Amino acid sequence: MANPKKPVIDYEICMACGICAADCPLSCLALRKKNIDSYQNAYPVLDDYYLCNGCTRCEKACPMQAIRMV
Amino acid sequence: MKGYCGKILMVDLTSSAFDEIAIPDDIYEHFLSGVGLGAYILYKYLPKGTDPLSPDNVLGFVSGLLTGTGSFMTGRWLAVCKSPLTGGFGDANCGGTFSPAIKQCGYDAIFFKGKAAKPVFLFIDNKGPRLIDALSLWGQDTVETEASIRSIVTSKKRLAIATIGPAGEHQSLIAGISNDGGRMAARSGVGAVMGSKNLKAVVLGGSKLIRTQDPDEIKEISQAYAKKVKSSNLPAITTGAILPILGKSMVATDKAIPIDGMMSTAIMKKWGTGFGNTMGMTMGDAPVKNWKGSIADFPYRKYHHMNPDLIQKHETQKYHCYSCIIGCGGVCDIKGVSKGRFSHTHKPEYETVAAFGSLLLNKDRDAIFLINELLNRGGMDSISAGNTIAFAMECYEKGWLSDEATGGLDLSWGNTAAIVTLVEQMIAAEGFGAVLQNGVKKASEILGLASAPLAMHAGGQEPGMHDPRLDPILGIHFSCDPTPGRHTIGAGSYYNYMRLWESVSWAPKVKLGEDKTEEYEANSNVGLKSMANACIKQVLDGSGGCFFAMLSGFNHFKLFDYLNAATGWNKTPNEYMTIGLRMQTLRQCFNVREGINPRDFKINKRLSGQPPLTEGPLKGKSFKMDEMMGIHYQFMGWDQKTGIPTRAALENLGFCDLEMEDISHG
Repeated sequence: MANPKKPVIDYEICMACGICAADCPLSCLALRKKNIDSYQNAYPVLDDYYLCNGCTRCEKACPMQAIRMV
Repeated sequence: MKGYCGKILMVDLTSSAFDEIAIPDDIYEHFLSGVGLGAYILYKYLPKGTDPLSPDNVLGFVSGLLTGTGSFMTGRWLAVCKSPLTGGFGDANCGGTFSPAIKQCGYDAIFFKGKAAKPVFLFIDNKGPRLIDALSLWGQDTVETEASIRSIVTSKKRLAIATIGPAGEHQSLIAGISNDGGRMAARSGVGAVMGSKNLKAVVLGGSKLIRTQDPDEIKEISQAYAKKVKSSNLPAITTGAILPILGKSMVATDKAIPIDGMMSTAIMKKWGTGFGNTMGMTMGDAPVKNWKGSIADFPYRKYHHMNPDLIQKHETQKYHCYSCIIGCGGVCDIKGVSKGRFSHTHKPEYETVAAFGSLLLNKDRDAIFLINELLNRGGMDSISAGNTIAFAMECYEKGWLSDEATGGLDLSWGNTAAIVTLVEQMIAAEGFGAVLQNGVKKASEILGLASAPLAMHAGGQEPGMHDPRLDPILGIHFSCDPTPGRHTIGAGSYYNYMRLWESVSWAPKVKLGEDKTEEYEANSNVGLKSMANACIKQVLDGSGGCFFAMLSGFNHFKLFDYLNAATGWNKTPNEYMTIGLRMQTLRQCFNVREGINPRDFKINKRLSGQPPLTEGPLKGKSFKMDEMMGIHYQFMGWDQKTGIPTRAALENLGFCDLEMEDISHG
């Protein structure tokens, strides 16, 4: 079986809303501070690369279309 | 059905039975979801005259219609029940991650009736609901409970957990329900009802999809709103030092200056609600010394300790509720506070800072961090707890409380050590805290009728930390809302930010330079504004919407467009406002059915300036609350004298299959 595609997040677009993390059925995405803005916001990161089965729920859920499956 | 699940779960804790109840589309069109669905279910299923702490009470955990649809700022849930604090409709609103989790289990709401024989928690995942023994969790605080449950329950998905702490277990009437490590659905005594049912927690791990009518349209609305929020920032050089100056300038004139709501968003992004800590002092918004003092009693040398910049120094990262793009919350490191008793706490909200700061003349910021975490873990409402301690301090000042009565506690204003001890006692229902643990109304009943004038409440509910003498329309909502004492329903200032007049035809436009002193009189403009506030807040709470999105203005936060895109309806803003009016009227009917005289919800007369303050920015400010309540009732279609919804209003609104009791007095 081919390796599933994984979410890649564009942090230039991401609004740190947490919708993707809450939608992930396996909770592969965690919210962590990334020091990429002046507000100390926590952004989604793929916490468990191997657990992710590439279901694309996060990609579809993201209102900002900031997630691509690669 | 789009946007909503179309069914609820009813759990009978007495028989451990589960009942899935289908909710017809018609009900959502009439009441939305959230607080409207909650009011519908309570009116339908709660036997009239139920003792709020008896098994017959119905307790609901309700998500919002827009929650989980891809809309932003719509992740709020509510606990609903008959309130043991007021005897009427009870609800408490909270963010965190619990709201989408309800819908991901396939339900718009989960309701409980009956009482479990021993402590239990409800667990739901994609396999369905089950009740699990919680005896070992009983006695744990809210943070400990979440950690324990995560070690007990195996789940692929990260669990969303709502739980009570010791205060709820003791059925303190000011107990709340916590989720996400201390975010509190605090009001109405909902935690006491949960405790009375032996229900320790609700634990959700479902991953079902939530479908919408037009997901592309929702994304388009979300992206347009996000663009505005992203670009709304205060200049980088802005510091908290500007806030007292800003506060002073805002009350320097009696003329209205309608400010674009995105200004409030920029402020919230920087400080969260903490901006009010110091700005509220110079404006006169923050109550001082049990609402009888002013900035003269808590001057700059004291209140500057609450500068939000100083609080933010503890902030390690922002906290966003689900679907939030503002991020007013924060996680604070408090290892350096109180000998490292706790490692972290949610950033104290303005309400907590004021309730345990200016209201008690306490300038100890570290103590507020500690109290914040104690209350979050204990599961107790900080607004109610602060008001109740303020009442005790004023009684002590008057010599009505002896050191013997307080168990040796010196309740002089600003005595930080005594305040902390009292908070711990209230949570544990021990010592003098046992007298105060049920809120200010019960405490004054225990201490004697002479103390009643010092007890600040509306129908038993302690008021939020905003002064109606500054904003009389706020006082209307303190006194007229079916869940009284709330600072989150409406105010003249909120109305200015919302800009409803751009979408709702009957909402009066606020013009630049308009005379604000008119808001101290019971006139038609005040009636219309307060009606608009009440209606739109119901629509917001039916949608799961955030109060701070509302303040960003409906010209930016397109709530009505979101609702149409999610559901496929094609309703106008005016039609949504009528839904809001129906929801609010149903909640009022619930109260009247339960024997409440709406006029009895009038807030303590001190808050309407009877007598007026003699110092500070609110010096001399007063208004006639009875007349203000009357004008609000009139515009809501309720009897102007009694506050009871008129027969004509009930017939015009329509309540689907609900058998509306004839509550009209003529």
